[in-house]
Amino acid sequence: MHDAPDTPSKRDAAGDGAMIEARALTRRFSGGVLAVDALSLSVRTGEVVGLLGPNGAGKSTTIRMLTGYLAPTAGSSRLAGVDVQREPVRAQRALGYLPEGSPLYAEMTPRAILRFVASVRGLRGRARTSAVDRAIARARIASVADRAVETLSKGYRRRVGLAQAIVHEPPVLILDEPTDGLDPNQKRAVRALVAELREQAAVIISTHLLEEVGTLCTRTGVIARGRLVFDGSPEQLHALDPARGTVTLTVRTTADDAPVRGERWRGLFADLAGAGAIDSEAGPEASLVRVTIRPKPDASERERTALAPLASARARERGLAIESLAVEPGRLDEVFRQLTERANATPGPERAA
Amino acid sequence: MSGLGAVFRRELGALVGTPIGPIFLVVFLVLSAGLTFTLGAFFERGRADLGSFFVFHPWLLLFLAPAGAMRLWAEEKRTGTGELLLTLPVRPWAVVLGKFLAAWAGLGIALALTVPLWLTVTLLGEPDHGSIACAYLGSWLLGGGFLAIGSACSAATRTQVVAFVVATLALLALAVAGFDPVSQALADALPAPLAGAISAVGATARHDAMARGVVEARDLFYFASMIGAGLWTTALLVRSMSAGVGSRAARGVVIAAIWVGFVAVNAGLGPTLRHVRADLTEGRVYSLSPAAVAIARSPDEPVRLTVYASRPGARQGLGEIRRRVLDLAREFERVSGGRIEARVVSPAPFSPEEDEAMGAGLVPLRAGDDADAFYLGLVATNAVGERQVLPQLLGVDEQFLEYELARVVRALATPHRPRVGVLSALPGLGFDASGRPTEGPGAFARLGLSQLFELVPVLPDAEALPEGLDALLVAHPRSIGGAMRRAIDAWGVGGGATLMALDPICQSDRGATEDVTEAMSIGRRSDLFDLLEAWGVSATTTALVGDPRLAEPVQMNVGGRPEQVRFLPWLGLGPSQLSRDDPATGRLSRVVVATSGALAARPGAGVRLEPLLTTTTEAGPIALDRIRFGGDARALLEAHEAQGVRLTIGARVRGTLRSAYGQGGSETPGAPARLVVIADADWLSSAFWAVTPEGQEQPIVTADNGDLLLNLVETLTGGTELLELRARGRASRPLSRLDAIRADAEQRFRAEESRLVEEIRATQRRMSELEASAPLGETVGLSPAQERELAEFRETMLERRRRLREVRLELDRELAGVRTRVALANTLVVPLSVALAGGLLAFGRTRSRRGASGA
Repeated sequence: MHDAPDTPSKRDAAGDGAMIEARALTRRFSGGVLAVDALSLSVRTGEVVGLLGPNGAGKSTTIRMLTGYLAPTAGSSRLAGVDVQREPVRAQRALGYLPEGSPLYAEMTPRAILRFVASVRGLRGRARTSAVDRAIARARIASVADRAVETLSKGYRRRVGLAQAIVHEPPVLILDEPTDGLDPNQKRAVRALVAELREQAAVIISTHLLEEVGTLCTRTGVIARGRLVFDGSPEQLHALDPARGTVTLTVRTTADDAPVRGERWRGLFADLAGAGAIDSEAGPEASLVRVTIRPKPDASERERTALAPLASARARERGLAIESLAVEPGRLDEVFRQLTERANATPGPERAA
Repeated sequence: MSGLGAVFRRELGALVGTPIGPIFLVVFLVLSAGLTFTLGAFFERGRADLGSFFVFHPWLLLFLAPAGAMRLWAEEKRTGTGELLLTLPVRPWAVVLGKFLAAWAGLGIALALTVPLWLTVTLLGEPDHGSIACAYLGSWLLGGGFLAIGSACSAATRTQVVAFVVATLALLALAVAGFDPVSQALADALPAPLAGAISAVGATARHDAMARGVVEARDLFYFASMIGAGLWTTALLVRSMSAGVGSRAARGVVIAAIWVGFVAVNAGLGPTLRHVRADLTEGRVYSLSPAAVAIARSPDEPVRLTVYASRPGARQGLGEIRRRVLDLAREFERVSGGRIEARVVSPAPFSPEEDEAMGAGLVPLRAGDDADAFYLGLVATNAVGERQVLPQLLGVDEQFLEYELARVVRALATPHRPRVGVLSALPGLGFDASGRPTEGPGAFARLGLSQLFELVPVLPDAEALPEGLDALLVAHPRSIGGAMRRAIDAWGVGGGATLMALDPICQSDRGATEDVTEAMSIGRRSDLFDLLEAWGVSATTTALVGDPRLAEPVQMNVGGRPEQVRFLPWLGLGPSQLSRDDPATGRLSRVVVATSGALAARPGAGVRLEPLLTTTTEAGPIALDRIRFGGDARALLEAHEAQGVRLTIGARVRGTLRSAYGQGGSETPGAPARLVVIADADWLSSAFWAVTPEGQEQPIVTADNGDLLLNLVETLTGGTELLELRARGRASRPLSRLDAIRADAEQRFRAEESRLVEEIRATQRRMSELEASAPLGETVGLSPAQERELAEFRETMLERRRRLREVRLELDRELAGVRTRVALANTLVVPLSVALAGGLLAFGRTRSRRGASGA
């Protein structure tokens, strides 16, 4: 109702339903630094894509190219089906954007800022007033709506930034580090808001908080050295940990089982499908031995999953009493570290199976 | 363009809503008004214009514009809001423009808040509103250009202070470019075209041109191109801040190209756009009038104008008048349709051109012994070798340059100059028995007349008027023989063009020194009053016209001290006393008459007077016997009684004149009169309206009497072209109401002053009597009572002298008080109101914030 006439909507989106689309986006800064290297990405309505990456990986550069703030050296991006480089204004009508750090005009009140943004977005009169009121309510900033921004806390400022991004209920939402620097309660509130917005929008969130991958995102993209080194679901990301499926088995030994270390344990499990390196060490008690069975680096997902049942079956088969059994589900920080460090060597982005 | 509007509103709000805006506004208002009344010498100049206000604008804007523009982009960059702004659906150029327009509107508010100055000058005088409005426009445009450059500087950095400093330096360079010393230095250091181009983009000269009241296309283009170049640069820098396309070097090249283009185009456009202009002054003071165009097109043979104009070099102020002269000469050439050819020669010292200029009779101006001669003169020649020379135009008021040029063109173009018979006993104006011009204070007027007319001597004892006259000037006639009386009567009654100036007392003619009574009188009476009476015009001969509102100040010896006193029978007639309807007086602003009579149509004579020169309603008669040589001017003023009606001093006479000799005296009875009568002849003496400063050749004219004479003769002979040009209205108008306030105050104090003076004199007399009663200066013979009385008198005398000093001081103080109040009101009241309003606004905000946070 309050949309400006030329605002692209979901209907305008490309046939595949992608609301945000990057095609081989490349950005080379003066001095030859390659900040973003042929990055492609596609986000549909209902998806919340978390862009992960270390500082300086090219997250913000990517986002700035997507929003039309920065021009790509090569490649293109589309918002709601509109080419950002060719028709920036039309593309930006579909966009709600929270820049990094939520920059705001300090001397203005949140309401004035929202009114300004709504005006630039072509809203007038009652439509503008109701859009501003709605954004204030959704961002829960009614109590501070008429105070100068410079007097507000960081959390409120972030929420004002969010409010301005959603004042026109955009089909595309790009939020650069929306929860950075907020306390846990504020983070929760922001996440709840994003989850709510996801219903009608394609959302990209940049973050360096691994926890948000699980709590907020339906998909994760990892950027390292300007490349998208991973693009898949949070589960798929977890799966990337080479230690995933590692079985740690604590068994009680009798005297004749005496050697804690050695060939015996390796021999016991080495022939299991997908098993790789096997270590053993003394457990917390004298009679306990902890055996770690890692999957082979090239072990398949099925082999990794099967490793624990196979190992416990084998132990029982040999009459060993199993005190405890732990399976490594995969550690994100480890995945993250490996993905981002490996980016140097790997030629192309890793694709989830 | 919702984006542009929203950006504009937000930016204006930020400008007004943050402390920095109002603070700079108050600083601007205080400085601009303060400078007007101090360095600008508003009251000392005594002119009803805002010249002393606008002259500072380039310098004030040098700071104000960078201050207003510095936060436009630097702040967005510093806080990161630029990223938010530039990802909103609005084109970058719209953001650039919206922000600029907001700052420009802010500047407009600042300028609008100086309007009380405009009101002030309107209350104190009659300023040229067109000129002031144009000057405001010029300041606003200049400010726009400066803001655009400030905006570019702001977009180049993320620190406001850096933006401010860089912009101020850039603008300073732009402001001083075109100043003579700078131009000179550039000319020495750079190739001539480059130095010339840089001088051509000087901002101050452009602003000055508009501050005069003339909008020239090239100046408009200059300001527009400065704004355009500034905003283009801003947009490039803003794009580089976001998009960041292209290398820094490439961007630098493009920006440099923009500004080189700005300089080149503006330098190149000067000549081509020069003629497209609008003169917004009320009297079109700076435009070639239709009459001048008609004159420019009048020559049958080609006329060549050679302007000798030295380069002004380091000499202040000469560049502007030089430019004006060259512009005018070219303008004459342009409109002449090929009849006039203008040539410019710039004589360098010791060059053949300088020899040429000297040979042509030009008068150089030298500032000192070592200074090079400065020539600014003109030689006009036609095909038959006639020539007219204007030896030095620096002494000519700017608004008369056009007239001077038109005059020489007309002189060369007209084969026959009207013949004007001159009959006058006023020294210098008339001719002696041998037909040679006499010498005296009338010579200046005669010389002016002789430039346009062929003057034919008419002698008082001649038998008849010379043949072939086009007009007759009879000014202060004396000893007119019977034949000449008849001849004049016949000429006038027959509809001959006549200008009669008859004076009850012609102060310029004191007669022969051997006649004691005449030498002691202050002047002699003209003849022919009876002839005038017969024609139907009565003139007072036993009383003079006095008018305290118009009385001219004179130096007088009062009580042994020279003092400025206003002399009742010397009248300075202002615009309200000069007929606005008559072409001869319509555009004059000041005419001085002295010891004049008053005119009236004799009832039943069948003539009607159209007043040309009148008094105010304060005027009244002064008995002739009260005017004595060395008489007391103060006493005259005190004794004056107003009649409550305007008296007529000069008039055009309509109707038919009756001959003093009956019907037989006239050749063509019933011819409509072509007669102008002025009941004064002293107005023809330049002693009353021109001064020649020591060491200078050209007199400085303080009133339009010379123009009045030329205008009258010209209207009488039927010529109208030059008449249009002559009195174009002066660019300089007096602070007339302030002068009136001064006159009022003087009048009030005068009464008390003269009472005190009288008391002092009486006391002195009484003391002398007392002292005289004692033997030879001794007081021993005085009784104690007498001694006491003498001591009391001394005391009283001292007291009264003290009181007199106080009264005079008080007069000075009262006048100074008016000035101070006006200056303070303008300098403080408006800025304080702004500050107060800003404070209230801020207070209101804080309260609402508190209220909001408390809720």
